Amino acid sequence: MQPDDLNNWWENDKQRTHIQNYRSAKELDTLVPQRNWLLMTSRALQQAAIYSFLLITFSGC
Amino acid sequence: MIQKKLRQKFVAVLHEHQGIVHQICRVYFTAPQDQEDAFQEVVLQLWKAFPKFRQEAKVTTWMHRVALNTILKRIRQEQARPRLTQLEDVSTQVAAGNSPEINDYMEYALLQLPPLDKALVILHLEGYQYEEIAQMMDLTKTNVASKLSRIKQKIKQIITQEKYAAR
Repeated sequence: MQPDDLNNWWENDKQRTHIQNYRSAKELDTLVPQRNWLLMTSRALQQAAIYSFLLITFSGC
Repeated sequence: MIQKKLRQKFVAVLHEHQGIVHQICRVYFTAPQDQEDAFQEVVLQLWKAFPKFRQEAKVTTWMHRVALNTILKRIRQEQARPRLTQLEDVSTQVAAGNSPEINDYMEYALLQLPPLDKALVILHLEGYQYEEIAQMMDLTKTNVASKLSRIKQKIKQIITQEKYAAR
């Protein structure tokens, strides 16, 4: 086995796999869930924290 | 609105670097359906992790890390079968007296490796330094170096054995 054999094989195989499995952006979009629950939850918690802070701050005045 | 922009950005990144995910799925799974399932699972995990991606690392490094961790976790959970079809392909060629190409031996040797060794080889072939691989796979740099050295020896040994058997 030559030192570059594995690297050469890998690069060729990568190109072949990419060509065989290529998907358009539209196709990939269908694989993505409509909602990112992690993002939505973190934003909801962030907003809850802000409103709580404002409520506590101003109700104390 | 933010969600829509995030989604568009994610799809653009995935579209540009989808080859990473395809190649990893191909190395680990034989059946097209298994590859497809793995691909979809990796896309889902990438999407979940995307809001936390802070651009501190290169996007390709981040994708490799998430994809490999997802696949390794999947294999641990389901004890996925090795790519028997591909292994049989080479064995059949040898038995039939055909002379397989060096590429067939290379693929055969890679498929023989355990899941974690495959991950190390993939990252090494993708040009990552030992230190980066160590960070991605939660190993020490020394450990990565010694493991890769051992794996290369093992690949050479497998290829030599197969070539000898084919004569």
